[in-house]
Amino acid sequence: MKDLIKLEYKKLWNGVSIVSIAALSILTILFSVVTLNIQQRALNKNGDIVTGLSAFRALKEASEDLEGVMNGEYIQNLIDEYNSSPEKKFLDNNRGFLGTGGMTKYIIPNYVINYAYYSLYMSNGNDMIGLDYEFLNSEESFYQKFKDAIIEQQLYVNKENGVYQYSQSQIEALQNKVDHLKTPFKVAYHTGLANLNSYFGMEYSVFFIILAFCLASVYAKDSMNGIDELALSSKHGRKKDMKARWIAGNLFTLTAYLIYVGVLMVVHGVIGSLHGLGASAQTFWFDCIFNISIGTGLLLIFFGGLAGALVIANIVMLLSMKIKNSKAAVVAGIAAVLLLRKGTDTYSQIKLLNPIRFGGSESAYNFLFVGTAIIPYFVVVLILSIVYVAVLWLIMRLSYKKYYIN
Amino acid sequence: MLEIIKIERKRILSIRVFLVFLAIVALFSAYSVYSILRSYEVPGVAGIAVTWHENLSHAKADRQKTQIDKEFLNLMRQHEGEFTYVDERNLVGLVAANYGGKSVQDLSDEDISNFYPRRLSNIRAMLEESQVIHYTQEEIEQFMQNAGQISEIQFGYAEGWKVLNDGMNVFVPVLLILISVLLLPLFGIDSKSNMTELYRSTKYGKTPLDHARVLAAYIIGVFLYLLGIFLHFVIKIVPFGLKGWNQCIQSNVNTFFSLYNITNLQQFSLNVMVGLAALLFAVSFLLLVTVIMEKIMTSAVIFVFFWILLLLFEQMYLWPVNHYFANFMPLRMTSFSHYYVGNEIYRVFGSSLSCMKWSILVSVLVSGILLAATIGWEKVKRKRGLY
Repeated sequence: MKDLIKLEYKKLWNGVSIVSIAALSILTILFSVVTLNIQQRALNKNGDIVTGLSAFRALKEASEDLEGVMNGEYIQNLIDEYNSSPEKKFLDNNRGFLGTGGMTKYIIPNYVINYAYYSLYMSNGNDMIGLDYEFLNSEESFYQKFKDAIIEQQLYVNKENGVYQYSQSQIEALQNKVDHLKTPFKVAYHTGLANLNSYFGMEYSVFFIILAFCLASVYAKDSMNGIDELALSSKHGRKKDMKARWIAGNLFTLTAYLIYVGVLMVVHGVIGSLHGLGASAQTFWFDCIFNISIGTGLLLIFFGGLAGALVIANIVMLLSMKIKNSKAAVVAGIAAVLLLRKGTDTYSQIKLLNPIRFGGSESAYNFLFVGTAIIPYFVVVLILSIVYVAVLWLIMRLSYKKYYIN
Repeated sequence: MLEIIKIERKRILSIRVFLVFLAIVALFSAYSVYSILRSYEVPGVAGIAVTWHENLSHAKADRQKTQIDKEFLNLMRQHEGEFTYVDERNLVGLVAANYGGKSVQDLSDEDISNFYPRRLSNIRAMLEESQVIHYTQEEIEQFMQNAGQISEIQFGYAEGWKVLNDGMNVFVPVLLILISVLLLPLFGIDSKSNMTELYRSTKYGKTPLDHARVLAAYIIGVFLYLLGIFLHFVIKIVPFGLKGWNQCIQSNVNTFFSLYNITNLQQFSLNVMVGLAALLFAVSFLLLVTVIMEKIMTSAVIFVFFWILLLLFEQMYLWPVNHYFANFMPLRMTSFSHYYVGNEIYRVFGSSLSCMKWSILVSVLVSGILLAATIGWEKVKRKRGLY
C-alpha cells in the first residue's frame, strides 16, 4: 500500500502541477510586491516619509520604542509622547494620510485604544488615532471600556447577522469570557503579519484553482495518470488503488498548501518582517475573545485553511471520478469553487459553514455557541472538515465500485 | 490553406461545442436579464406593488420625447410622495449626482435654472481636483469644450440601452474567456491522443498548418465574439425594446458627467469595437502560451493565472498599475465605464490621447508582437526539427 501511495503521489507531480504551483508562487510574489510597493508609505523615526516596500522596515524600526506591555504607565507615556510628536502634527495637516495607505508607528497602539471608543464602528484613518479620552486615566477603566466595546460589537453582529439570537445565559457566558481576557495586552509591530493575513485571505480561493487543475485527473479516464483498463483489471485496482489515489491526492494538497503558505511567509517576511508573533491577538483582531497571541491566531487560520483545502480537494476528486474527463472535471471544479465563493457573499453567519471560509480570519477570533459553551470557530472548522471529507470519501467509495471505463 | 482552416475549424468547433457555446451565452444573458428585471419590481406591503412590466410600461408611456429642462424639472419638483417608477428614479439619480445628493423636491428655482451650468461646474471641479492626473489648462479647456456640447439632455425611455451598455462590463470578459477556452486545443496537444508525429510529417503539416491554425484562431475568435454579442444583444434588448438608441449617454446616471457627445447606440458600438481589440489580445496571448507550453492543461493553467492576476489588480484598483499595465489588458479594457467617466489621458509625444484610443493602440500593437513571437517560436521549432 505504501508503495502504491508513493507511486500515485509521484504521478501527481507532473507538468500541470509544477506549472500550477510555479504560477501561483509567481502570482503571490508579483501581486504582493507590486501592490505593497505602490500603496504604502510610512513616517520613519525622523518623521520623514518613506515610500514603497522600504516603508515597512522604516516603520518597524520606528516602532521599536513602542513595543511593550500596554499597562497604565505605558498608556500615559504613549499619550504624552504622541501629543508632542511630529507625527501628530503631520496627521493634523494631512487628514487623508492614514486612510490612503499611510502608516506611522502609532497606528498599532492608538488603534487599539480607539477601538475601545469606537467599537464596531472602528476603521482606519486620521480620525481614529487620537488619544483624548477620559477612560485612559487608568488602566482598569481602559480595559473595562475595551471589553465593553467587544461585547457591544459581538451583540450587534449577532443581532444583525446571527443565525439565531443569543439567549440571556449565552450573553452572560460571553460577558464572562470577555471579563477573563488576559490584560494588559502585549503590543508590538505586526504590520508584516497583518499583510500576511490580508494577502492570504485575498489569494486563498486561488489555491483551490490549483487543486482543480492538479486533482481533476486523479480518477479521470482520459489522463495519462488517471484510470485505465489496466488499473481496473489489476489485483488491487478496485480497492487499494482507489484508496492510494485518494491518500496521494490529500497528501499532494497538504504539500502544495505548505508550499503556498511558505512562499507567502517568505514574501511578507522579507517585505514587512514576521515580527510581532507574540503580541496579544486583541491588538490585531480587536474583538477576539480568546487569550491567544497573533502568532497562534495565524497558525489557527493556516490550519483552518488546510482543512478547507482538503475539503475542496475531495470535491475535485469526486468530480473527477463522476465526470471521468479531466478537462471537464477542471471546469466543473473551478465552477464549484466559484459557486462556493458566491455563497459567501452574505452577511449571514451561515457562510461560516462554507469550506471557502475555513481559511478566513474568523478561525482566529470567531466562535459559536453550543448551549452556553463557547466553541471556537476553529474547532467547528475541524469538525466540519472531518464530516465533509468523510461524506465525500463515502460517496467516492460507492462510486468507484461502479466505475467502468466504457 | 482554406481547406486546412476548415478542418481546424471542424476540429475545435464541432456542432456540439458550438451549441454548448450558444447555450452558455444564452443562459448567461437570460440570467442577467432576469436579475435586472427583478430589480425593476417595486416591493410593497403585500408583495410586489409594481411589476417590472408595469414599471417599464409606465416609463415608455410617460417619457416620450421628454428632455431635461426648466419646465420638466419644475413639474417633477411638484411630485408628491415617493418616486416609484424607473423613469422618475432615473431623474432622482441624475439630480442627486448633479446637486450633491439633493432630492428633486428640494431644488430651488435657482438650482433648476442652473441644471446644465451646474453639470459643467461639477465636471470642471472633477478635472481640477483630480488626485491622479494633473491636467494642463489647455486640456481642461478642451474637455470643457466637449462637455459644453451637451446643452440639452433628452430624457426619453432608453432602459434597454442603459442595461445593455452597463452590463457589457461583465459579459464581454466572460465571452473572451469562453472563446479562449474553445481555442485552447488549436495548438495545445492532448497527451492521451497524441497524433502530432503523424500530421506533422504530412505535406502541409508544418508551415501551412501553423499559418492556418493562427488564421483559424482569429477567424473563429472574431466569429464567436460577434455571434456572442449579437445573441446577448437580442436577449437583453427583447424585454426592453429598442427605443432610446439615439439618446445621448448623459441621460444615464452612470455616464451623466461623461465628456463624450455620443448616443447609446454609438456607445454600444464603441464597446463592441474595444472588446474586439481585447479579443485580439486574448487570442494572441493564448496562441503564444499554447505554442510555448504545448500541452492543453499547462497552457490552461497559465491562461487562468493570467486572468486571475488581472482580476486581483482590478479589485485592488491601483492607479499606476491600471495606467501603465492593466489598461492595455483584456479585463480592464472591457471594463468600459472608465472610458466614459474616468477622463484618463495619456500624454504621447506632446499630445494628449484619450484612454480609449491609447489602450486600443497599445493593445493592438502588443497583440501584433505576441503574434510575431508565436510565428517566430513555431519557426524556431521547425528549424530545430522539434516536429
